[in-house]
Amino acid sequence: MLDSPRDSLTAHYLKQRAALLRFLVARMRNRDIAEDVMQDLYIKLTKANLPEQIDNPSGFLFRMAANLALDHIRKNERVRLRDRAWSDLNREKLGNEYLADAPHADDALIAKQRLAALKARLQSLSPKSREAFERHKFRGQSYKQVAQDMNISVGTVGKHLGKAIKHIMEANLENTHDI
Amino acid sequence: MNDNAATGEKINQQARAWYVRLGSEQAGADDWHDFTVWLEADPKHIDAYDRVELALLDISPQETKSGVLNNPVGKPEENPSDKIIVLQEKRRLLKPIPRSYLAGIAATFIAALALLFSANIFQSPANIQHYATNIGEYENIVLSDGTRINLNTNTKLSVQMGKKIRAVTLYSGEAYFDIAQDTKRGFIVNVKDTIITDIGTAFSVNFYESTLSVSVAHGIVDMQSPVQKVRLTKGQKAVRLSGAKTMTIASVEIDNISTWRDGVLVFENAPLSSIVPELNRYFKTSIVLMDEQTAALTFSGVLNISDQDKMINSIEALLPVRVMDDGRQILLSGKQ
Repeated sequence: MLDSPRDSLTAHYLKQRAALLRFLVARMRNRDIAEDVMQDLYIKLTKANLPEQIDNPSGFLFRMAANLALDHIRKNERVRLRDRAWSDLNREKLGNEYLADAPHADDALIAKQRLAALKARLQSLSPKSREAFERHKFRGQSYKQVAQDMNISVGTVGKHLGKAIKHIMEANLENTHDI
Repeated sequence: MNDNAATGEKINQQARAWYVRLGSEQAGADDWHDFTVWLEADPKHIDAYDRVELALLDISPQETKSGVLNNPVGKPEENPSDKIIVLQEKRRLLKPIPRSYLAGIAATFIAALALLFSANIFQSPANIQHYATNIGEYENIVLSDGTRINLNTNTKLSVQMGKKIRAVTLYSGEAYFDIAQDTKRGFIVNVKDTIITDIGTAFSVNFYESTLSVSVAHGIVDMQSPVQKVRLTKGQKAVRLSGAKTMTIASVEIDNISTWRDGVLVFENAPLSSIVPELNRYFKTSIVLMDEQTAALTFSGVLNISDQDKMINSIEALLPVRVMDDGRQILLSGKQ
C-alpha cells in the first residue's frame, strides 16, 4: 500500500531533519528562531491540507521551511514598521485611539503601493519575460507548465524569471530606500 | 564601478539565481544543501537573498489546480456549492416583486430574448463553450477575438461567439472582462435578467447570492435590467441587490477593481460581517464569526487569498480576535 503524502513527508522530515535545521539556522541567522520554525514546520505537516500527490517530497519540505522562515522575517518587518508608526504618532501626541489603527492603514498602503509599483515596473519588461513571470508568480504555474504553455525550455523559463526579478529589484533600488 | 559595488552586484546576481533555482518544482535536497552552504559563506549573501524575497513579497500565486479549464466543462451544475457562504442569514435581501412591474419585466425580457435569438440564429448551440472554476481556483481565458476573461473562484460562465454578437452568460461567481474592440460585433454579458453591453472596455462582473455588481475599469458599459437602463463610465460601479428592481451607482477606486487577479483583496474600513463571506468564497474551510462584536470589527488592509493560513495570520495580527480551528471551520471570536 502506498503511503499517504503526510506519512511520506513526515518520513522525509525525520530523515532530513538535520539538513532542514541547518538551512533554517543559516536563513534565520539564529538557532533559537530556527528551532521554533522547525517546530512550526512539524505542526504544519500534521495539520495542513496537503496535495494528493507530492512528486518531490524533499523539495516540498524545504519549500515549506523556506516559506515559514519568510513568514517570520516578514512579521519582523511588519513589527518594525508598526513600531516606527507608533513612535511617529507618539511624537505627534495624537490621541490613544489612533495608535492601534494607523499602522494597519500603513501596512495596507505600503502593500498596495508596492504591488502597484511592481505591476507598473513589469510593463517595461520584455513581453516574454513578463509572461513567464506572471504565469509563475501570479498564477502559480510550475516551471514545466510555463515552459509547455509558452513553448520554450525550462531553462529559458529560468532565464526569463531571473531577468524579471532583476528588473523589479532595480526599480526597488531607485525608490524604496525609505521602506 | 569600484570593487565593493562589483562584489555587491555579483552577490545580488547569485541571490537572484538562487531564487530562480529554488523556485523550480525540481529543486531537491541537494539544491537546498548547496544553497545553505552559500548562505553560511557570508552574511552579505543572506542580506542579498532577503532583499530578493522582500522585493517579491507582495505577490503570491493563486492556488490553481490545472486541468479543469483545459477542457471546457459541459453544462454547469444547477446548484453552485452551498458550502461557501455560511453567513447567508445575514443577507436577507429578498423582496417580492410587485405585480405592476411584471408587465415591464415581461416586455424587456422579450426584448432581451429577441436580442439573444438574433445572435443565436446564426450559431448552432454547439458553439457555446462552458467554463468553470472550483473553490480556490482562478483561470484566464482568451477568446478567438483576443478578448480576455479572468474567472475568479467558483465561477461558471458560457461564451458564444456569434457572427453578429459575442455573448457571455455568467451563471454565478465573478469575472473580469478585457474586451477586444470589434466594430462589427458587440459584446454582451447576460446575468440573469440583466444585460451588460460593452462599448470597448474592461470591467468586472460579480454575481453571488443573486446580488449583481459591475465595476468599470476602462471605457463605458450600458446595463439594462427589466426596469432600468444605466450607463457606467470608468471608476463607477453599479450594484443590484438580490430581488431589488433598481441598481444603485457608486464610485469605485480603479486600482481596487478585481485585485483577486493578483491574489489579494483590498478592504477599507469594512466590517468583518461583510469581509468574511467574501473571503469564504476562496476556501473550502469556512470562517465563522462567533459574536456580534467580532462581526462589527472593521478592517483596513490587504489580505492574501492564495493561502488561508497566511490570511488568518494577518487577521489575527491586525484585529483583536481569537482564532480557533476545529478542523472543519475556523472560528473567530472576540479577545477578552
